[in-house]
Amino acid sequence: MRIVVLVKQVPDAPEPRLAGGRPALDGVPWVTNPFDLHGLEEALRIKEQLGDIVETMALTAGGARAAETLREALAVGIDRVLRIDAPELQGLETGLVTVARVLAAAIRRLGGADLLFCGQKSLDQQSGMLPPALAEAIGACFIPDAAKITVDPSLGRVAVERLLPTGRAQLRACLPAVITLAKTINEPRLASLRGLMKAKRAEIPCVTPDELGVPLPGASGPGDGYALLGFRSPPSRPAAMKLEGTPAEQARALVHQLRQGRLL
Amino acid sequence: MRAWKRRREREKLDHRLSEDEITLRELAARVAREKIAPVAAELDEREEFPRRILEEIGRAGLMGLTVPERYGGMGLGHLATCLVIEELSRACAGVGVTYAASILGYGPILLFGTEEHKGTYLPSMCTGEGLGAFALTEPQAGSDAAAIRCTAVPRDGGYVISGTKQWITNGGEASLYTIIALTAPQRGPRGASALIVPAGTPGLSYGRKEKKLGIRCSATRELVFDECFVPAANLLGREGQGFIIAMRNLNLGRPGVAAQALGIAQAALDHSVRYSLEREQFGQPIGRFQAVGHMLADMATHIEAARSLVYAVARAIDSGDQDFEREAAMAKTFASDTAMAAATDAVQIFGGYGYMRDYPVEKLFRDAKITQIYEGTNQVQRNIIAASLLKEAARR
Repeated sequence: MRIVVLVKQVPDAPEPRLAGGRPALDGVPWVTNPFDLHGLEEALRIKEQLGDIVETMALTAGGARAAETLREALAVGIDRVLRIDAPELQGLETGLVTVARVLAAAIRRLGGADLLFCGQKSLDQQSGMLPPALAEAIGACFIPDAAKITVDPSLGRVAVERLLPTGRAQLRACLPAVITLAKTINEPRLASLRGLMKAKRAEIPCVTPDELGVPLPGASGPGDGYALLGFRSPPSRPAAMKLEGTPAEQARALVHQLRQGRLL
Repeated sequence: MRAWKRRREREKLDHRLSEDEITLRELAARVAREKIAPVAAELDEREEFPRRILEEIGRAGLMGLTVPERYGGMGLGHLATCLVIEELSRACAGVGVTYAASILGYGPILLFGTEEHKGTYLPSMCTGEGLGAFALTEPQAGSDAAAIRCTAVPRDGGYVISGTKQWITNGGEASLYTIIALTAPQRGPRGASALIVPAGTPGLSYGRKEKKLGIRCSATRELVFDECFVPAANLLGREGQGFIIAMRNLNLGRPGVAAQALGIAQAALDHSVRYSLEREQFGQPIGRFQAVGHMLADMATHIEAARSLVYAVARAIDSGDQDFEREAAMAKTFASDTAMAAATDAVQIFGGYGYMRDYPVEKLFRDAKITQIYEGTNQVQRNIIAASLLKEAARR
């Protein structure tokens, strides 16, 4: 049984600025998308429970720097990793349907997957749309917001408790299945020192979209009807104002401000 | 989070740490940031032993760093240990001392234990399941360690231990105690021996957990030995070697206390710098006032100097230098005095807020004080340094 965890390296920039019409990411640290860590943890727990019949893998798309995220996966105990060498799949340059097609091709290259774990969303784009697009691309079931996963490999199916605003739903899905994990499903472990040392020296295999037979839209490939036109910052908020004085003075000042703003 | 990262990048230049040492420190920093810092104030308030955190540290593979790999450790050196203690102490000095005291507990086994001792006791020390403690101090034998009265009378193929050990870090929580007791009281300090006493040995009981000024999550208890029998196989080294073992162990442990102090000092600086930028008085951040800026500058300067000294001593020990007692005493003294001064200035910079338990520097102030006292007071350390200088000069 093979579990593939999708991991993404994202910029840790809570309030990104724009420079030259693009997010200014110079000097911004890149980290593994925290939502994806739950996928790694869940894969490791299932392997610990079922033993060596489970093979765990982590897959990412990105430039050379994204290998660090795969090293993190190896360090916590993931068996194998693969990087798709395409930084343009990390940002908004490429449409999600294309990203899903490339990932699907990579998963086929790995020999297929029974379970695919994804974080609920990525810290940078937060669309949450890639997992269903991937499920469509590989012809798998899709279940969002899993709070509990129970695998029965002999029956080829998985039982999932899905978080709902009003409670939990009990679901059963055939394999393969793409599942996004709720943050509450587990507490991701830290890598051990031994794991980190081993991962640091590991070779990180990589493959290009062309080698996967899915050339990216643009120079070498067909268009996919999607284009990134530009970025805009939200309008800046006016500075906050602190009202000083006794409660009565503060109340008078507040009424004055509200009247000035024609809110009263 | 970025402040941590920036500091690490700078230190890579300043202290010539290897890639592996940086990886080790980043891991310790992550454990500290994610597992310790969020609960440090609560553990301190409740005086709760950090058992769960120790398990996390064990899972991260950071316990037993200096234990050889064949016993389950990492086979690393004292610099590695100092890096970890510093990072843990940056988040909570109580956790830092709990970690360091365990090393001090199994240290005599590493130094003087037989293959059997090592195979029996060290593996659990490396996983976080086991915990060590070292017991030398007694009510009337603090700085004057030679005044111990606890006896271990040879009888029936073993030793019967009687007496009391005081202020034992990890007391009541450790799974393994190495103790110094008199096997031949008539010989005075030369009649002292080191013995292994596993927790649960009949005749070993614990006093109440001491109420302390700082490092309040760490456990400090009395060990009471009432006709406590251990087999002769639990003797470390030879009879009469107790003080040699104790002093070697303490000398090796001194950079660890210095690293703990460094962590406290660095935390004081981190909080002070951040607060000096955020807190505005008279229409500007208080860091712009020269009086505050100079306090920050002095803190940072002393911390960098202390760090250089501590790492240099740890490196000297790792390279096999046997004559490091003076420098280890210097490192312990300078780093702990730096921690106390930095924590005092941090409280001053925070002003009234610094005096409140809701802000973190009050804890640093309480935690810093002990580093000037335990594992040899700074006065005793200065005696060691002075005696070493005079001895060297007399030899010339």
